[in-house]
Amino acid sequence: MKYLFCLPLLWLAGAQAHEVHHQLASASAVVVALAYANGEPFAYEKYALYPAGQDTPTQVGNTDAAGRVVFIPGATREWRLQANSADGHGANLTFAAPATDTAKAAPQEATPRWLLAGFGLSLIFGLFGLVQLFARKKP
Amino acid sequence: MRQLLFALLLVGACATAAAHDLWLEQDAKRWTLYQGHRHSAHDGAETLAYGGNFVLGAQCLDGKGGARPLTELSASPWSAAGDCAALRIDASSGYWSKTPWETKNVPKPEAPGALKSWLSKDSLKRIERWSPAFAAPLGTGLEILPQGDPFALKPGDKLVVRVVRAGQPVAAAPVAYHGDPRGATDADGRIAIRLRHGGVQLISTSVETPLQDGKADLEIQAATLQFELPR
Repeated sequence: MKYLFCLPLLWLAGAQAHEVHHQLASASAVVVALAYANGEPFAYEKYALYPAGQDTPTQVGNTDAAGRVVFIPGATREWRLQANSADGHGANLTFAAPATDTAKAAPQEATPRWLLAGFGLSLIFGLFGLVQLFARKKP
Repeated sequence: MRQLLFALLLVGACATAAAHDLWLEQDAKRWTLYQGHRHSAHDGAETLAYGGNFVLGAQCLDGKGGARPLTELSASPWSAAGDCAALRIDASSGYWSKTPWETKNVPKPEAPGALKSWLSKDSLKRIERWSPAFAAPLGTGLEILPQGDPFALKPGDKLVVRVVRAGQPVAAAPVAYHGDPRGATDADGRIAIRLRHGGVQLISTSVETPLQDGKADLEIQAATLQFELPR
């Protein structure tokens, strides 16, 4: 019976391992637009964005259809962007990110997981209490 | 993202088709073909490997534009031995297809969802000793023709070149100096390029034409002229 209390915790752990939450927010971002010399966008090509002097990229991915890399610089000012196509085109840029507003988080999440967990635990304890109450009334 | 405050437009990361330079290095009578950015105005790996089937053909020419013997020594990197006043290389990296996920070195039918596809062809002509014969086309492909003796020039001087294909002038062709776009040819295929430094000189151009072979939408043909001035 004592292990019953662990069940919600196991359920919580499982949920956190598999479920990915989302949060929608509006924020100020920096846009780096890459193009070939003839103006054609450097579209759908791979890039890696590094804080200056670091070897681990903060962001990796592909440029969008318009050849853009969009990122939120936070407190970091100096950046290095490396973008390359498989056929050998590419750019390796270092630049200072223009100042942006601090990101304004506006969570629009559904019912938080901690609230659901608390509700589940309350339900279990309540049922357990009722069972104990009825069990004691019997002679 | 509701607000995008800044846009940095970085045009000219590289020339239209000349993804990287091709150049020939000479050691005694041995010529070796390299690909990369050793002499580029833009960043990139100094040398890039290419496959053994990259070079399609080579011509060793004497001072009158006539053929001289050339002995091929290796395929990758391509090298050959010969006493050449000029050496001309034709090469191709094959078909390329761009999808939203990646650019692959395959024909369009092998790349589902391809947004753009092309056949990439390159040619390189290194002039070692000047001859008026080199002001005329040496082949039928895309070619850059110096209109005077480039070895008589020094850094700061301008070299007039003419871009031709199948012997005909190519108008509005973009021309780059060490990968840095410098302008487009006029109606007669001519453009004047200022030589910025001594040493290796690389002048390149590229032309796109529609392709109807079912494997790609475009043929992108690039040509490079190489010569060397005293440092």
